[in-house]
Amino acid sequence: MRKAIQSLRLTDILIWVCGMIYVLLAIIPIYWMVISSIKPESIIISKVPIWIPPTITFDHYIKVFERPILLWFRNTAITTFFIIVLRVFLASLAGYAFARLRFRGRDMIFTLMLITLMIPPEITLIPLYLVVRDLQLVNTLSGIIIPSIPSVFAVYLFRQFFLSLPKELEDAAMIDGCTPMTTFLRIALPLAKPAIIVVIILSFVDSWNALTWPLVVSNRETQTLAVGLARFNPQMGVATLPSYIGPGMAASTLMATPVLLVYFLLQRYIVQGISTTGLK
Amino acid sequence: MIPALHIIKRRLERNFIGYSFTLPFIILFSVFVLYPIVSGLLLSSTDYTLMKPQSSFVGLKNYIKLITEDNYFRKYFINTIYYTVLVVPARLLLGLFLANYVNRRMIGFSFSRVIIFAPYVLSVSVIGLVWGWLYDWQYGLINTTLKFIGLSPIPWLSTSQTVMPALALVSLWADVGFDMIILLAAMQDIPTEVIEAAKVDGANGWQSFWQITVPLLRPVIIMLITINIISCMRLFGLVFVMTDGGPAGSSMSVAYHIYRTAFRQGDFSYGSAMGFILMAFLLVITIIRQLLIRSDTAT
Amino acid sequence: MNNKNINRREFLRIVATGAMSTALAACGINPPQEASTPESSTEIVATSIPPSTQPLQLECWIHRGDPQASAIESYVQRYNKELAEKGEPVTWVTTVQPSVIEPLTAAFSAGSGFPDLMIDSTGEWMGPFIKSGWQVELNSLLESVGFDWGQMLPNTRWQIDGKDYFLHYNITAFLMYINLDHANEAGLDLAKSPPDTWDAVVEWAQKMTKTDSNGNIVRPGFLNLGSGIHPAVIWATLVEGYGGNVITPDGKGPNFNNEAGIKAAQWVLDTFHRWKISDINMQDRYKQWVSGAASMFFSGNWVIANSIQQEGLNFDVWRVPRADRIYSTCANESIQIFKGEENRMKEAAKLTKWFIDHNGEYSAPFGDIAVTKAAVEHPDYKNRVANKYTWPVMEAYDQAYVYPWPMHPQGPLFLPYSGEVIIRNMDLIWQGQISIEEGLKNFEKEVIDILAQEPIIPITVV
Repeated sequence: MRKAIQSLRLTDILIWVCGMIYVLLAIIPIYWMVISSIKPESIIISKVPIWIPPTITFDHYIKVFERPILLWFRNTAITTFFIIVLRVFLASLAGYAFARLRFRGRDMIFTLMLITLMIPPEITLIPLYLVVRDLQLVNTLSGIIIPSIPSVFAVYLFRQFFLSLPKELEDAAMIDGCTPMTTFLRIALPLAKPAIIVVIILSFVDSWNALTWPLVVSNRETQTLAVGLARFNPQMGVATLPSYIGPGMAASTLMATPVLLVYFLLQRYIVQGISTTGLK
Repeated sequence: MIPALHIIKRRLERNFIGYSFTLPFIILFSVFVLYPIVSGLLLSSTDYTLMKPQSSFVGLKNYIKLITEDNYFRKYFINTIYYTVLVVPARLLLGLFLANYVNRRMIGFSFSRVIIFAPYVLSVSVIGLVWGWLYDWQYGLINTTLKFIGLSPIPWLSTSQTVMPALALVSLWADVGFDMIILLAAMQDIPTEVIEAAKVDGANGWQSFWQITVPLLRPVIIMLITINIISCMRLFGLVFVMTDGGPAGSSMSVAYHIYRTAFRQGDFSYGSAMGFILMAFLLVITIIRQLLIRSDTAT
Repeated sequence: MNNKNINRREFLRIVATGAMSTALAACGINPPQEASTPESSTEIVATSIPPSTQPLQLECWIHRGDPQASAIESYVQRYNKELAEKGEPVTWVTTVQPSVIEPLTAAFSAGSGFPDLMIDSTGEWMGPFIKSGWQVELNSLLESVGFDWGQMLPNTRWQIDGKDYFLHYNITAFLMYINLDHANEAGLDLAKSPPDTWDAVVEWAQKMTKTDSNGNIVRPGFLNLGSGIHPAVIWATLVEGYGGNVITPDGKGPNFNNEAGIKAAQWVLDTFHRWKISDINMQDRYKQWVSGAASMFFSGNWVIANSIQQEGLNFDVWRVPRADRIYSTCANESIQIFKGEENRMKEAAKLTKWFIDHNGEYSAPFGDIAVTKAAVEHPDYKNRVANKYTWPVMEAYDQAYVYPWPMHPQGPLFLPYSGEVIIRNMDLIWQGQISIEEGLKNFEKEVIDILAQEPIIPITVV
C-alpha cells in the first residue's frame, strides 16, 4: 500500500534518501567488477576513477582462458549438480520419514542431527579430511561431492514442510493400499515442489560458492571455481598490476554470473526459504 | 498370543520402513558428520602430525598448551572476536534500518531489496578479489575517489589498525541482506493494529519503532545475533583471499589458523584441539542465548 | 512413565553409539605405518644402467611462476620426445602447481599422490621433508646415472651432513635495481658514484623521492613495505651486514638481539619515518617496481627478466650495498626427488642430469643463473641480454658472500622468504605496535624456544 503523498513526513523522506544512498553504494562493487573486466588495460590503473571507460575490450576474458577456467567451470558444475540431486533425494526421503513415519528412535536421531547443526564445519574439517583420505577420495570430485550430500538443514526444511501438509491425502492413499514409498513418491513429493525448489536453490548457491572444503580436498585437476579464484592472483613471481586485475575481474564476473542470474530470476524463492526457516 | 505377535510384526515392519527411508541419509551423516566429530575429539588428544604419524595419547596437553601458552592462538582468537564485535552489531543495526526502509514500500523498494541481498549469493572468492582491488592503496577505487575529492587515502589492508575494520566492512556489505530479509519478514508479521494503537496513543515514528516494533522483534534479534556470532567466528575465506593473515598477523582468524596448522604444517592433532576450543566457545554463546530466550518466555 | 522409559533407552542408545564411534575412531587414529612413512632407503649400487623395459609414467611438479614454469614444461616435453625416439617406454607428466605445501602434506600423509621429481625454491619446506625421509639424497642416485659433480660452479651446492638432498639449477643473489630515468632526473650518475653503501642508498633515495604538496610520498625513492617479506629481507641483510646473524652459521642460536639487530631495524623504520624515502602503505613490491612507481628496489635477480620485458622501464643494477661488510642472502631454485620405487627414482635422476646438461640453454631467455661451467659457456647464455645485469650475482658467488637459509625441520620458520617466525615478529615493529628492543627480545626468545625443541639443520656450502 503506497503511502499517500500528503501523509509523507520528514522522517519518511530522510529514510528514503538514506536507503537509496545505501543501495547505490552497495551496487558499486558489482558494477566495478564488471566494468573493470572490460576496461582496456591502459586505463585500469588510473589516478582518477574512471566510471565509464571510453572504449571497452574483451581481452581480459580471452586472457582468463589461459588459466584452466573451463576446467574449474566443469568441476564446479559437476559437483554442484550431483550435490543438488543427491541431497534433494536423500533429504526429502529422510524428511518425509521424520515427519510422517513412526519408527524406533526417530525423535532421538532427529534431535541428535539438530545438535550437530550447531557445530561449525571447521571443527570437523581435519578429521573429515582424514576420513576422506582413508576412503581414497582425496583429489577426486567424489571427495568434494559425497561429504557435502548430507545436509541436516535440508532434512529439517523437508520435515517442516511435510508436517504442514494435510494428512488426509496420505491417509486416503494408505487406505487404498499404497505402500509408504508409493505414497511418498506419488503424493507427498509432487506436493513438495516449493520445498524442493528452495533446497535446490540454496544448495546451488552453497555448492557453487563453496571454498573451504573443496580447497582442502582438491588438487589442480579437481579445483572448483571458488578455489581457482581464491588463488588467482600470483603469490610468487613477478607480475605487473594490470596484467592480473583485468583477468581477475573477468574471472570473477564469469563465476558470479550464473549465481546472480539464478538469484535475479528466482529471488522470491531464496528469500522465502531463508525467511521461513529463519523464523524457526 | 496371536494378536500380540501381529502387533510386534507390524511394529517391526514400521521400523523397517522408517529405517529404509532414512538409512541412506543416516549412513552418509554418520560417516561424514558424526564420526568426524568424535574422531576429531580423539585426534585432539594425541600428537599426530604429518611428520610423526605414529601418534601417542597425550591427554589434554594440546588444550592446556593452547589456553595457557600459545600466544599466537590467543591473539588470533581475539582478532576473530574483534571482527565479530565489529560485524554483528553493525549488521543488526543496518539490517534494522534497511528492513524499516523496505517495509515502507516507497518508490524503488523492490529494486532496493534485490540489490541489498544480492551480495549474499556471491562466493567469498569473488568478494575477496573485487574488494581486494577496491581497497588497493594506490589505485583502488576507494582511495582514488578519496584523493579525487581532496581527502587522504586510507591504508585499508596494509596497516594492522585498519585491516580488521576493512574486512568487517566487506562482510557487512556481503551479509546485511540476510539480516534484512529476516527482520523484514518478522516485521511484516507484526499485526498492524499494534502499530496503529501506538499511533493513536500519540507515539511518533521513532518512538513506535524503538519501543514497540523492536521489542516485539526481540526473539528474532536474539536468534540473528547468535547465528551471526557463530558465522563471524568462522571467518576464513576473506582472510585467505584478501590478506593472508594481514600485516603483523592482525587479520589472522582462528579458522584460517586451524587450516594452516593442519594443512601447511601438518599438525592435525593440534589443529583439531583448536577447533574444539572454538566449538566450546560457540557452545557457550548458544547456551547464553538459550538462557536469554528462557527469560523471555518467563516474563 | 513413558518419558522415563524413553530416557533410559535413549541413554543406552547414546552410550552404544558413542562406544561404537570410539571404537571406530581408535582404529582410524593410527594410520597404517606403511602408508605414511617411507620405507627405509636401500643402498643404490652404482651399476651401468639398463634401459627401462616397463612402461612407466612419472610425475613432475613445477612450483614456479611464468615464464620459467612454461619453459621447464617444454623442456620436459623435449626430454619425453628424446625418450620416445630412443624407444624407452618412459613418459613424464608435468603439473604446474600454484602451491605445493598443502598438496604435498596431503600426499605424504596419504602415502601417495606426490610427484617423483619436483622443481621448487630451495629451503622452503625441505627441512621437514628431508627429516621425514621423503626427500632423498641425490649423490648415489645421480652418480649412478653418470652425473659429474665436478661440473658445478663453486658455492652452488648446499650439503647436509656431506650429502646433497637437492640440486640447484638456478642460483640467485640480491642486488639493487635502480630506475635510470629517475636517477638521471635527479642528476645521479651510476657510473661515477654508485650507491655502494647503505648510507649512499639513503642519499640517492632522498634525491629521487617525489612528494606532493602535503608532504605525502607520491613516488618513493626506495621501495620498502610496511609488513611481510620485504622489510624482513632488508632487515636480515642489514643484520648480517652489521656483523650479526639471524641464526649463527653453526646453527647454535640467534645473534640479532644486539647492536647489529637494533641498527638494522632502525634503518628499516627510518626509511618510512625519518628519511621518508619509502611509503609504508605500499603493497605488492614487484608491481611497484616494474610500473616505475619506485626508484630503487632491493631484490633478487629473478626480477631481471620481467624488468627487461617491461616497456619503458629504463634500469640498471648495482651490487648489494655494504654496511660493515657485504653479505647477501639468496633464494635459489632446485630439483628434488621424492622417495619412491627404485626405478622411479632412477628415472628422476636421469631427468635431473638431462636438465642440468641443458642448464645453459634453458637459462638463456631469463635472468636465471646457470650452475655449471658448461652452462655459463653456452653460446645462448653467454650473449644473453640479462648478463648485463647478473654480474652482482656472479660476484656474490665468486667472492662467497652468499649464505644459505637456516633450514629447520619444522618448516620455513627462519627464512625471510615466507619465514613465519621472522615476519610475525618483525611486522609488529614495522607496524609500530612494539618497540625495537622489545620486538627483538621476543623474537630472540621464540627462536631459542624453537631451537630447544629441534636444532637447525646445518648446511655446508660447497
